[in-house]
Amino acid sequence: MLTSKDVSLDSHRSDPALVQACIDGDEHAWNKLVAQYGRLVYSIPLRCGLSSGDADDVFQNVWSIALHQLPRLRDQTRLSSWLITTTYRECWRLRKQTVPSLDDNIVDASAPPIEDVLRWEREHQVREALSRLDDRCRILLSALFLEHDQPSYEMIAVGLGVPMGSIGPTRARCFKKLEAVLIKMGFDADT
Amino acid sequence: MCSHPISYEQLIKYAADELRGSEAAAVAAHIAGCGECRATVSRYHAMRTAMNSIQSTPPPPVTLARAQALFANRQLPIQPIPSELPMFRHLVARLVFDSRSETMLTGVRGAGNSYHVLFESEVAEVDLQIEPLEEQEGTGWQILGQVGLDEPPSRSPVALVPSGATLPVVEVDADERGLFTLRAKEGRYDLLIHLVSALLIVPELEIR
Repeated sequence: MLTSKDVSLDSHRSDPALVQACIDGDEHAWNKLVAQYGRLVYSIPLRCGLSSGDADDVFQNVWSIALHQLPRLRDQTRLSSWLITTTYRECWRLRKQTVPSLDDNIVDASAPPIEDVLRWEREHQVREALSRLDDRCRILLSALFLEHDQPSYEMIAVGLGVPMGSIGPTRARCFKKLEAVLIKMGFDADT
Repeated sequence: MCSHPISYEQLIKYAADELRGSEAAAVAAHIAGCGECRATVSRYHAMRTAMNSIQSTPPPPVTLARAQALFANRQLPIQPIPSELPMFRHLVARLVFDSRSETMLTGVRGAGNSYHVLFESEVAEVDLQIEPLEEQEGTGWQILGQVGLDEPPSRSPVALVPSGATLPVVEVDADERGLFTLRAKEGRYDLLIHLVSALLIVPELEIR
């Protein structure tokens, strides 16, 4: 399993560098890759309506394919896009077995709609960018935007141990950091 | 940020729709002529939309650990694909993934009668999903294939030849993305793919 030390060492490695490290036999790099994209891959079968058991199967198959395809993955400019498409195809294959008529009306059921790919990629990028922030910024932005029961500024201030009046300026500073990470990751706000 | 009459904090408040009256108007006037600040507002909105719609679920620890263990348990060495293509020749692809054996190795539950196999060669990968035809389509099997190429995509002819025979039972052309669909009866076949630089052979493909 990946240790916290490994995470800190690997946290800024690009996807091609991570994949190259896997090709070179670095098991920590593989663990990092699976952990980094695990949530994205695992969520797709659930979004497609598959059970958690089926999602487990899809998850294992996708990473088996990825392992065999590492030399090709190294050249992917958008690894997330490749993973989304591969995962979607595995979901489609599984669904065809259980309910063959489900996909009959879909023109190309084996490929995900481009808008889904872009949305899932964006969500993944935002979550990944958040994970690269310091604790205070990650907690603040997550509380402001990710929590379903969005807490009040007062509750957030108490949780962070800061005056309520500092939440606004802190939010701006944290978003600035997040924006810098997103730009580095190629986040495109216009797609 | 270049020299702006507004602070970054004001910009974020504007993006969050927390400014009113003259303050909001001042920021709106500024961003109308400032692409940099406009982009920040746009990123804020896109980020907030993405965060609000995130419904992703992390894999259970056991599921994650099992996928991570695949690396340590891998059986084939990972070889980089050479960047230079060889002269035209016959290449035999080798099996690198079979969902049926994977099921046995990892305890993954099977997906009915369909299965997924992946073959690899120096210049291309061949991804095959094999599934029985539905009742109304008759008896036999459908093969959904994709050829992954390092060379520029082309409409590669694909032929399915019974093992030991010389004539194909079915021939199709892959599309620009390398996708193709074949139908065949149960049996053992060689799949031939005419690439620009080589004839790729997927040998002893069991359809059953």
